Amino acid sequence: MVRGEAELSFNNPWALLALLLIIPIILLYLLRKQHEDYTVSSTMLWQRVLQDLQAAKPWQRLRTRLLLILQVLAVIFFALSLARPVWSRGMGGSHFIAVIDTSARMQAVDVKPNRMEAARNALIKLIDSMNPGDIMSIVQAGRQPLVLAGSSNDKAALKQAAEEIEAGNGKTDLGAAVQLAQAILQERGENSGRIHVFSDFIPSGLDEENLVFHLVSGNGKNAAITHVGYERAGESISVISRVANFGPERNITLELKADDMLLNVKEANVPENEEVAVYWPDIPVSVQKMEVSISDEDDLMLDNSGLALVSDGYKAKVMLVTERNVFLERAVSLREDIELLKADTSEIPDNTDFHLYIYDGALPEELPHTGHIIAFAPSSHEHIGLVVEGEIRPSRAAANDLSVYSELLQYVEPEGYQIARAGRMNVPEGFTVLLYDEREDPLLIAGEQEGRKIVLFAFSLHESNLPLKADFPILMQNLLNWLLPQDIYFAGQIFSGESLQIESYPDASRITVISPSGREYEFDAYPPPVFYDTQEVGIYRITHQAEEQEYEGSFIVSVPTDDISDLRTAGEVPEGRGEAAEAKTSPFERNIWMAAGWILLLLLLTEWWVYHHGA
Amino acid sequence: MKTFDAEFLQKLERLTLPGTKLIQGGTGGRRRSKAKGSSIEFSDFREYTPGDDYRAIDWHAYARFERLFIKLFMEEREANITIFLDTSASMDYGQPSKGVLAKKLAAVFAYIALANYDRVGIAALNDGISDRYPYFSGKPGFFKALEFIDRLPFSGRTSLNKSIAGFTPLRGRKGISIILSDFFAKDGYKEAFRYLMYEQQDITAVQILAPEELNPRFSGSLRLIDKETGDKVEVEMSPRTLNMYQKALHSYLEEFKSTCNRLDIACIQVSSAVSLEELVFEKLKQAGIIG
Repeated sequence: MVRGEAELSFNNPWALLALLLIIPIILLYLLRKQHEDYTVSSTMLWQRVLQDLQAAKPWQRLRTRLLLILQVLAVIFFALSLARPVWSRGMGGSHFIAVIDTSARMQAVDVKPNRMEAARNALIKLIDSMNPGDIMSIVQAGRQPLVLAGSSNDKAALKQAAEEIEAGNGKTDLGAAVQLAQAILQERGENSGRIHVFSDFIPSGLDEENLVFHLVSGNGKNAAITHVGYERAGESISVISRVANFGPERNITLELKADDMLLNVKEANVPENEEVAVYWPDIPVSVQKMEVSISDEDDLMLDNSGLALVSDGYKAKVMLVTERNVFLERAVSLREDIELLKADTSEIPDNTDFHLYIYDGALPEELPHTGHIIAFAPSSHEHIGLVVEGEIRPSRAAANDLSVYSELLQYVEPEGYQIARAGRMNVPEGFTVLLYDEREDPLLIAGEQEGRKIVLFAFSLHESNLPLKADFPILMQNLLNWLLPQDIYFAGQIFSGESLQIESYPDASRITVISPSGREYEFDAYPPPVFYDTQEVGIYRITHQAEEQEYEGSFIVSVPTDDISDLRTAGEVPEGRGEAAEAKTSPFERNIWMAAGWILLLLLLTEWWVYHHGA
Repeated sequence: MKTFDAEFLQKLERLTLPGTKLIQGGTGGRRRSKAKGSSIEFSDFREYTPGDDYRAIDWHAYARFERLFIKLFMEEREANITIFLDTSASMDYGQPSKGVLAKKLAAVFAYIALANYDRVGIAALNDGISDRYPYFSGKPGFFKALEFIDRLPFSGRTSLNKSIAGFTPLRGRKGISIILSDFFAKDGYKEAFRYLMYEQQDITAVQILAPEELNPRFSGSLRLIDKETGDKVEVEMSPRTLNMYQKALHSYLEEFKSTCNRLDIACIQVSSAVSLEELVFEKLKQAGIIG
């Protein structure tokens, strides 16, 4: 903690209005001069009393003043004790950091109304308990930690931030959020600040010093659809679903909907902690969307259904221009999603519809309008900016680990490559060297120009032992994975919170993503966008807008059942792990209203004594 | 005064006012004897005045001089009882009033004296003699005197010294002087005592104080107004102030008592709250003021 000026603040500053009571007290002292007339038989004795009083007049005046002062002080301390003063040192109090888990598990209703609400209520209670000098940061633990409110002492703003927190549909990295909170404290030098963790479990491997856990868990019972898939069986489809039970053994009723129409209902007996497969055969092949769901209610409804989309059998079109290259042909043909067309180098077809052109030998002077390119032993090409002059005889090949395309060499060991000769080529603009020889002449370069991906081998496969190496098909698959667009009709299935790299259709200019709730996101097609907002669970539609037509596809965002479906987490803080929930008073502040109260009592006693025993 | 019914008066008749100064000139050892035998010697005559016991008229002298004379030997045996009743404004104070008790007491003393064949004179005092009832004797005159007492108003300041010293009828007459007052007099009371002693009076002082004076229950800020003088005293009534008053009162009462003791004056200090019967038949008896 950074030491600063000591600071007095009030929990209930309105109570200081009680200081106004001083005014009537002073007025009463002034009014006390107004004597009430009273007739007595004789004032003779009273005059004697008055003489005695006159003798003690200086003290009497002092006594009167003392009484006034004591009463004014009593009012001051009365007001102070009502105002609940807090004496704080340093940067105005202590720093709380609230880390709130927003995993899909927090939607569970085993704690009423649900875990998220319970956590939120606990957080708001903590905010309410803050003393004026305290500050709080709120960190949302999502897939990535996010600071929702930074170092604020504005309770209203903090509460608003707390109100806006919602449980997501994915898993969270609570550990990362706690580490971020610890880093924030360290950065501020506040080793004694506290981190309040609102979650339904305690992440392992944390430095638990300064951690206070607010656990919200009712050990709920839950079943989940963990998988929905299909396989083609002739003219029909068989759907395979898996259902897991994270509670006592029970019969679970399952429904299958095909294109939102209820098609079948089955019951499965699932023992505790078991997962069983349920098959749904003979589904018409025309069905596009299949949904398997659990009919019974449980503590977490989010994972009670699973989706599958039937892909139409998308194939990427690849043109292989070669005189004859069996190795290359086989390596490319390994993929089933490729429609390969071979052409002779002498008759390069003028076709722009291919996703990928593989030139084994020479690049055409005029490159096709669209489509990515792989070329082996190319000659100089003006459009690309490639200059090939002379030959080199590399003795060995080495990978450029610093390349931005290093993933293209994943699982590839180029050290064993033997290359008889290669063209000495430059590295055109936008290209990166993947392989080079001992003299650092490039042997394999890759790059992007105007949205087109190009891979250039400086040598011919026939002039090397590369096709004979076991990692040749791996290298080719790496390249094809990079070069070929995804199945644009079914871009895949990811978990909520994960991001999806959208592979743009080669001639697409704009990409639109529509979420299950209808929210639209627009991107430029190049560079290929990464879609992050995958909180919603369901089917997302992707539209690739090309010059002449639109290509439509979709992807599914599902819940990570492995991480979120088991609700049976500990509801109590195990011994020795952090500190249990109740918010603690900051060690850097002291409530001094009790002291003010004691002083008030002392003042009243003193006043009583002065009034009765004054000489 | 309704108090003075036949029964009460009958009880009073059994009482006497002891005195010392008269016994010296008397006979038979008792100043007021009901057995007035012939053994008592004739001394002188004096002319009859209304109120004198007509039984003492010397009819022989009347036959000779056609004037009423009283045998002076009787007078020698009579005592002059002078009752000084404070009727200053300060006496009209308290619940019950000091003045009322003083008047009743004056009537009691008068009746006892008359029952013992003494002569009684009553003087109402404030800053002088405001009124007086001449000496008289004989019980029949009691009710007239009572009427006189009853009618006396309370007004004016108290000045015992001035008023008693100015009471000329006392001169040359030994007797008993009874002062009924609160003795709250700015100029004191000692000169009055001395004057009475000079006039060979057996002095009885009855100091009557109201409960409000003995134990005032004041609070707050008061401007006390003197009933007699109109003097104003502003006092913050606190337990401490009241305590100081008690001390002043106690000191004043003690001083009065010691003055009386020193001057051989029979004195008693009573509260006006005490009943007349208790005062007469117990307290005054105990104090030796009546026998």
